[in-house]
Amino acid sequence: MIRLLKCEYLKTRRRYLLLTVIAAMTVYFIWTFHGSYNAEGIRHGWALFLYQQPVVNTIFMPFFCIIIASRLSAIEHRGAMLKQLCTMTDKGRLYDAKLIYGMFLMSFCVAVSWIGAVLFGMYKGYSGVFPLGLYGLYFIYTLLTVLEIYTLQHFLAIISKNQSVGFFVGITGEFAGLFSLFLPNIEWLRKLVPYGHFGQLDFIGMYGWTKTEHMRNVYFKLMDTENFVFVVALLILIFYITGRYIFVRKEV
Amino acid sequence: MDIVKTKELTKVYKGSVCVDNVNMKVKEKSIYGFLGPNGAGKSTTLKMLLGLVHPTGGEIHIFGKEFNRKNRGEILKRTGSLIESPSYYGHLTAYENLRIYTTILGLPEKNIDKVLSIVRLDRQKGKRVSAYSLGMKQRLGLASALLSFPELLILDEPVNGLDPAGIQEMRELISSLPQKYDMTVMVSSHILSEIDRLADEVGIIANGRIMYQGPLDALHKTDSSKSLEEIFIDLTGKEKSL
Repeated sequence: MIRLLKCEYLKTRRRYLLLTVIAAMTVYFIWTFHGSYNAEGIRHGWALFLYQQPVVNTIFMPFFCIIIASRLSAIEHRGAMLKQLCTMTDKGRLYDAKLIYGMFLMSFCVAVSWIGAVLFGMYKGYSGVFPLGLYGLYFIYTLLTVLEIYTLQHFLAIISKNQSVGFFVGITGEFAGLFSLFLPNIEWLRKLVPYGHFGQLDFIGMYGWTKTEHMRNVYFKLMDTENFVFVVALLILIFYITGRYIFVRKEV
Repeated sequence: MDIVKTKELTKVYKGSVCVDNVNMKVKEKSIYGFLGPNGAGKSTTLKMLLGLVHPTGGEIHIFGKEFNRKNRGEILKRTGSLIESPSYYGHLTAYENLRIYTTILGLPEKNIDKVLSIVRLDRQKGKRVSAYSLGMKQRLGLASALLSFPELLILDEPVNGLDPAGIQEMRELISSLPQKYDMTVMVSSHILSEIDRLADEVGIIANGRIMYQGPLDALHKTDSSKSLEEIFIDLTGKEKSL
């Protein structure tokens, strides 16, 4: 497996994959941190970030997954490489190596986004003690959701030469996830659709909302973690097992 | 010893029989020419030997072992192949492409320079494959198949798209492999004249069925009044080779 992972790295030479990731993260940071921060915003900075970030993640993270999965698989399809590689190694291991490598890149994106947020908060001088525990949970749950989506996108990208299949499913899912965030009455959509799971990362409560003072009455809370982790882990397993089985059985 | 043996090998696609009870025998350290018109089932048969396509029925034995999921890895380690068009990463150089294969197979990197020298691509090894001509890409495909200096080499239409000089070069190269490197070579083609010059034994396939298998001399002798092409056409029906 180490050899296969090394090969995945060697294959991406001159594909500027790291540059793509950096460019994507730059746009992500600009979107996340743009805007003027008034006194109220600075006072509730740590909470404000956790409040708004699920929406930002619902837009950006699936898109990153689509790009990374597509680029890693397209290089195999373009040169008709699968028929050669499948005579050199086990098909299942090939699938796993490419999945692990893509997951590593996506984990890097999530880690960079998290570190960037914390550093930005320190730079801006957000008030109060940094809620490390909640931010740690936020990081883990965001990472799990990203890996869940990536497992699905990886399967779609590697099983079909036409990369628009994964693109279409990913963008549709992204819109469904975004849609579910703004319609609390259809919570089943947010729970069922993987792309809506970012909206489940609900660490901020609010009371006495007013238009002018909406950020004044916020508090941190712990979301329902057990069900969330169970559902996400189950979906990762389902996507992985199904995808791998179909790929291994598919004739090259 | 028969290095490759198939017994009633069959492949059916959606009710259409593509390979029909093929009993093939390939002798060790020989060049076996697998001849047939377009669509006869040559590539499908070779893909089944490599596990790229699952047979509908029959058995495959390679190196005296049954080819199944358990033995597949071990058998393929001793096999090299070039199936249909050559596979490559266009954005990488020839050297980098082969380095990926040596990494996967756990082979020494010195094999790369050796095989590039054999196929005469050593001077272009630093050039990106996307800039290669078709002939160069074919030679790179052959280089990747030779990388592990396998005991069994399976080449599917290796001279496709080559000019006459390229065809001659490829033919000379393939002819030398059994003697120089103790390889058994299976070459498929629809070009009768090429197989005639290359192979020790032939298997002629048409509509998925083996019509003849054995030495070429014996095929010539079946009807000395006819040319090899005429015998081939008689065997394969009305379909003509190019």
